[in-house]
Amino acid sequence: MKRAFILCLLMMFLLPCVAMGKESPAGKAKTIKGNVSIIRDGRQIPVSVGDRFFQKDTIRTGVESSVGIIFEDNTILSLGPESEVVIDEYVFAPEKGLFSMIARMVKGTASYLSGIIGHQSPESVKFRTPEATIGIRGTHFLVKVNGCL
Amino acid sequence: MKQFIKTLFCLGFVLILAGCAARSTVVLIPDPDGRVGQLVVANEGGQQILNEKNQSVKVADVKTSPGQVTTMSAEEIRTTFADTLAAEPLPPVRFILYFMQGSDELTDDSKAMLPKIFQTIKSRESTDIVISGHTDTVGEKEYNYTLSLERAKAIFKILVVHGAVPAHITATSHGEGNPLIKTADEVAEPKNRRVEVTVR
Repeated sequence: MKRAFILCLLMMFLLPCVAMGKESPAGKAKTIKGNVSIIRDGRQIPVSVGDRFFQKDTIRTGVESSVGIIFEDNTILSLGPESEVVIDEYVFAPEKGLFSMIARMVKGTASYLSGIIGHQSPESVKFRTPEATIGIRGTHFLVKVNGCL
Repeated sequence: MKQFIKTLFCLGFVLILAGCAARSTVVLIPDPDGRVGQLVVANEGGQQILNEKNQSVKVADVKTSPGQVTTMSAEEIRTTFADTLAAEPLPPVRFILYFMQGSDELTDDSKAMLPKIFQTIKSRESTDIVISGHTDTVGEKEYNYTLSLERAKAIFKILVVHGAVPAHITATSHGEGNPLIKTADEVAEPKNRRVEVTVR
């Protein structure tokens, strides 16, 4: 009995690790111009077409640079020059009914076009700027954030 | 000298204040199909709703309610967001292929659609193809999961034979859980016996 309990306890800790170990990508870079990089776990990695993004990644474009991304749910996000956006959370698991996309614009310009998450579960999409939160109903929009100096 | 430093300090402070008055501009534009959605721009100060083409709102800071809703001219949108809009990838294309009841064999109409899928993969040089298999609600859940997997596999094979790279394809099986048309259990619905192919 005691052994079974310990086994249960072990499973409880181990299962989430197994689930987290192989995190599915959030999206892929489809268009790249100039210098584009992601900041992942404190390291800056250059990005080329076809590279994958994951939740928690920061995406940054340089001078005269831009990037276009298609997410797993077909959300389209593109960034203009000298822009930075953080993908705080991205969950797309329609088979479990789990949807979430939380993006935070730090500076620059961006264009957002809703995918399946935005159409099926608009309340799960949050697009933040330093000054406000944008709530979405199946929509295409543009954002510009003037950074500090 | 001391006076100079003081002035410099003051100037720097003013610059920081001015520079840090970061402002967000949000513009609602039409979806590719021409429809216009709705945005709610909100912060601690209040909120504004955008629901018409090219409506725009500026936000000065977190505590101040978003400003008046105005309409941004097409010209201004083009100059401000030219690079961003140019970087937008082509929207993904989705194809739906239908199957015979209880089978992984395509209907004749859907067979005829295959060349269009091959062509789309080629012309886009797509490295990102998603296949999802589905069934209607006739039969047990487990049976349908296997059937939708067989359907997804069948399409996977066809695409690979016609030049798609296996590593570029992701295939999933949804069983009866994700119907196109919601029905009661044990209902034969041809539109739900399908594989969706998304080319990105």
